[in-house]
Amino acid sequence: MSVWSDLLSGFGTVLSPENLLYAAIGVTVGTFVGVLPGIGPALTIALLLPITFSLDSPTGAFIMFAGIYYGAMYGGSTTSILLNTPGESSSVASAIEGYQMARRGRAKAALATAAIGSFVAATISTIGLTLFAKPLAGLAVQFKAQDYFALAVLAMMSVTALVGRSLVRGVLSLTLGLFIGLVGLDGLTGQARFTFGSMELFEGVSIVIVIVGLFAVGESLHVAARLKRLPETVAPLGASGEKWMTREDWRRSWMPWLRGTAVGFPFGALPAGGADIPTFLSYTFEKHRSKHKAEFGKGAIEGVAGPEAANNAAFSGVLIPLLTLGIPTSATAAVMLASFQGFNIQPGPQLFEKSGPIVWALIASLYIGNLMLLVLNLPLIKMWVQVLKIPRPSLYAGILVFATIGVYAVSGSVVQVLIAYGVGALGFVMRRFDFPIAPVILGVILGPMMELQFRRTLLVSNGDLTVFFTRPLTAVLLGLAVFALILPYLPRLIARLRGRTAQRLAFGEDD
Amino acid sequence: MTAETIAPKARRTPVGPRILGGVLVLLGLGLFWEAWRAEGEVTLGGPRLAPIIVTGLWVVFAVIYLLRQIFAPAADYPEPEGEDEHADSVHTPLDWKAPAIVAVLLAAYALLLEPAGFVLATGAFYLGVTRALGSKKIVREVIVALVLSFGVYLAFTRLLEISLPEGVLPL
Repeated sequence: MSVWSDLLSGFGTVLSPENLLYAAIGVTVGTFVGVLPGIGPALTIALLLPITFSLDSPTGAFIMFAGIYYGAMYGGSTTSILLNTPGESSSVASAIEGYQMARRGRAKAALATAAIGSFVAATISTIGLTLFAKPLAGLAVQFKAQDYFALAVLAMMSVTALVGRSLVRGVLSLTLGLFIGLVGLDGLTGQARFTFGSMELFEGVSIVIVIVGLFAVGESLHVAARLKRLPETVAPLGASGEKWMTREDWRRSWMPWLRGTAVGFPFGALPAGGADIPTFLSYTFEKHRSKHKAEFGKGAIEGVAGPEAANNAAFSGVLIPLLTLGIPTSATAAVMLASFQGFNIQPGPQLFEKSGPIVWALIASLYIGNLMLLVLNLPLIKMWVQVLKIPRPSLYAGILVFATIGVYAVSGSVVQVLIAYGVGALGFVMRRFDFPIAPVILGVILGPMMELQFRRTLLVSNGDLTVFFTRPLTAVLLGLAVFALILPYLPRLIARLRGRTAQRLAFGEDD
Repeated sequence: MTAETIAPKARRTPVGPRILGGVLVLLGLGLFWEAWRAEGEVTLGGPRLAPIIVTGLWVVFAVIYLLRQIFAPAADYPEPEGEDEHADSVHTPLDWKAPAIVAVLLAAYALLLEPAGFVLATGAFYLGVTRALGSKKIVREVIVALVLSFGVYLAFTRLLEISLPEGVLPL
């Protein structure tokens, strides 16, 4: 069967009234939670997991999921632009220019270029996903255990080295994640590791608990500590009769949308770092080549259009390694993986053969959800602004309640709730001392995978370590991982060779 | 604000990162010891290698972090430039009271969830947290607390069929 007939049958599934309703609920709930300040797509999905688990059909759940996924992204950009509180580091770039535009009375243009740019980028990259996912899954069948090990190393190294301002803090975050991933019974031998004699820890700490703890509880505690220093004012929308985008805005937006997509999709699709890097690349690129350089930092529309497109494109790109290799490269993808596993579906090379109809329904619903969002989002903007005006105390008390329900509903255990709170306290300390969060998540989810593949490799090779260097694919991937570690220091090294000093290269989590 | 108070030398080096570095080193050593004394032989393909590597990395980088905080604190946490009211860094004094109260409330919430039931525990927790976060509108928060706790309970147990602890209220 060709890709298109697969996709058509996917559309056939999605276009039933029941499934369209799931998609509509998904985009609405996703946008609503995504709009809440400080809550990014990963936490949105983690909080809404119990709701999807209660659905009987996995197809319905995944259709809702696709809606939540994109809805949370659209919602997040609204918050970045109107309140300057990006929920995840990948929306930091668009918050810079978007908020400045809003402050200058251009909120509507900023929101529109973000929404339409997201739609364009997501549609193009979903087409990319449609075309490439199945052939790539075919290639991935040939991957051996050592390749998976190398891929996991590469994904971890690139996120740790490139996100955040300090390699030392990045590695410490990563080791924390790797440590959390080790807790529990060893998968191959059943030996208890770091369980400290507690039965509750035998099954390990679930990624959902880590994400809810780090993002919901950690963020709430962090907000509590800075009550007096929070940005409070929601930027005004402007008159209701006003046009969303002028001809000039369109003219300045369309190229950045396409360029953002071109950067975002391949970066997302590579198992190397998710959405943070392409958004910053897009921002930097638009800044350098814009004719309106002076406007950057004061609200240049290119600085919203490009990064928003890159962000959305990368998010669809991230689904490629997730679906074809089973390797999540962002926090959001990690929660998606957890939800797949909740329905006993294992992403990887066999996914398209084993669960074809569900996957194609998921991909088809990405198109539908995206279209729904474009239709819903801008007309409903006044409603989302009302959500932004929820007073902080009520908002965070509510977030904590839903975080607790989320963990309790998934685990049914008070001890797990307490563990999530404990992880939240860690998240608070990390925010306070500027430790990046993403490496923790990747450590928790990729660590066990990496160890398993390492030991499998050695089992096959009878303990011979050279297999990691003699197979070309593995060696290249490991080489790239080393390169990712050096990359941030390259500008400085080159400058030193030339006898000058320069800044360390860094993407994300950097104002 | 005069020029002198923002000048770098007028501020003291924040002590927080050093304490954190010390805690990280001690914690790392403890976990490394736990990994080291576990049962069984350390082999390349066995379950004992990864814990030793991970906790070992933790100790090494925690020591580097601590040394950096002692000898070159400005490298990790440069002084904020200018006066941004929303700026947040280790240089701004930590307002620990509100997060501490929220943390205590969270612990109480988790422990009361099953004995007292979802509705009572959630209502009380919501009121406590909004108050700790500075809400002055008590009537409004009481109404929200009632709607939230009953509404969520009914929605989850009746509509979504996810069970939440019933507790002492006859629901």
